[in-house]
Amino acid sequence: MKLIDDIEGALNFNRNPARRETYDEATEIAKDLKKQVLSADSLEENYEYVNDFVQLFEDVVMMLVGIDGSEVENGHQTAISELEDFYRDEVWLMVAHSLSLETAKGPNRGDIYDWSSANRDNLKSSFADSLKTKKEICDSVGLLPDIDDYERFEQGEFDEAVDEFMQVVDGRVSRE
Amino acid sequence: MSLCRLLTGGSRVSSSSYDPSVFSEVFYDTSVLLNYVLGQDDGESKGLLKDHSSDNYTGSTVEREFNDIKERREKVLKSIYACDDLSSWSPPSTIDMSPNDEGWCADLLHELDQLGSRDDIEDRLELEERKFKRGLDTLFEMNGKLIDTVWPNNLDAMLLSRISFIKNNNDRHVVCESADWACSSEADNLITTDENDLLDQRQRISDVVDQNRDLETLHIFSPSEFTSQDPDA
Repeated sequence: MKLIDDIEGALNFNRNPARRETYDEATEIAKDLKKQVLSADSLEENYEYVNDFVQLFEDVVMMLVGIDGSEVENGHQTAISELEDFYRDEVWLMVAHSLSLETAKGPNRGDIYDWSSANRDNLKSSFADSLKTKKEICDSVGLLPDIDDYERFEQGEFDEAVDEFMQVVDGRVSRE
Repeated sequence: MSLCRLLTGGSRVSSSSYDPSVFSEVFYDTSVLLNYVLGQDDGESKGLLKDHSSDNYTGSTVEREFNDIKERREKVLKSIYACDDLSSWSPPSTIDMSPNDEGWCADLLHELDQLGSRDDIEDRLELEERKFKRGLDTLFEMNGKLIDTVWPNNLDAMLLSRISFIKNNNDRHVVCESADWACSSEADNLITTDENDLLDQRQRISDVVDQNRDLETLHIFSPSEFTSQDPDA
């Protein structure tokens, strides 16, 4: 969530939303999150949903690396905000309900179990449609890659625009 | 002459049986779509799918086959991901690998073997999975998808049996579905990179289609053969 907040903050102030380091950080967080979900039997059934979300997020951050602050559009902010809501209100909530089901204790355990179970099932059944909607939103503002963007990114082509931009900035700063 | 084919678009460039006659529409085999998603050629698949002006179609067999391949390979990627020692990895017995899957897997393992760290290996596996997902979305799922899937109206059981010389069952269905599509389409182009089953036998396939359908023929091309003949490309 912090990384999404940071990106959102940069977009709001028309700063470069992501660098290669941001993408590396996103992939690390994604890997950690997936490993944690896989490490607990009670959470493992959420893996596919978490995986779908983090892979969408990684694709979006990858595309943001090629965008500098002057190219930021309102649609980019909207897309990131939608992803943040999706994570908090659907993906993470699904995991939280699984945790509840596993850990609920006390006299109201049965009620909590029924409530969490119903909510988790609802979130699962609506997940595919929600995911598709978020993908369409991101795609409509150019935040999802073409197939050959993956190879271009691996070869460092996305960094060049940012590097060139930074050289201009650095040059201006040094002349000042 | 075909009774059902209406040549309303495109430009006829040759009377030879294996030159494309109409460039406005094409029907894809799975092999071309895989090449596009995995970047397994020199851009020919992308050149036709994305950059050429033709309308893109495929059939239910290809869409199902692409989905099946994606699911199988995702399982392979997960299995490799979970393995600490790549030299000891072998495909789980629960995955029914095709020869193409085995080739893809061997190439991937070779590539992973060159990578320095566990992190790099995990990142590479992750990227491969994302490519498949994005490929499926781009081809079939999202707004602005690259291909329309047509459903067979009149799949010809007789034709299916008469092309039994094509070894692969999915390929036989792709030929029948593309012939079915061609009957109600402006064009008759099936695009594939499958040399053994389809390209090498295309004259024989076309002859059998000609005898069995109300269709002049079915033309089978590789992406580069098709685009190189287009005078407007």
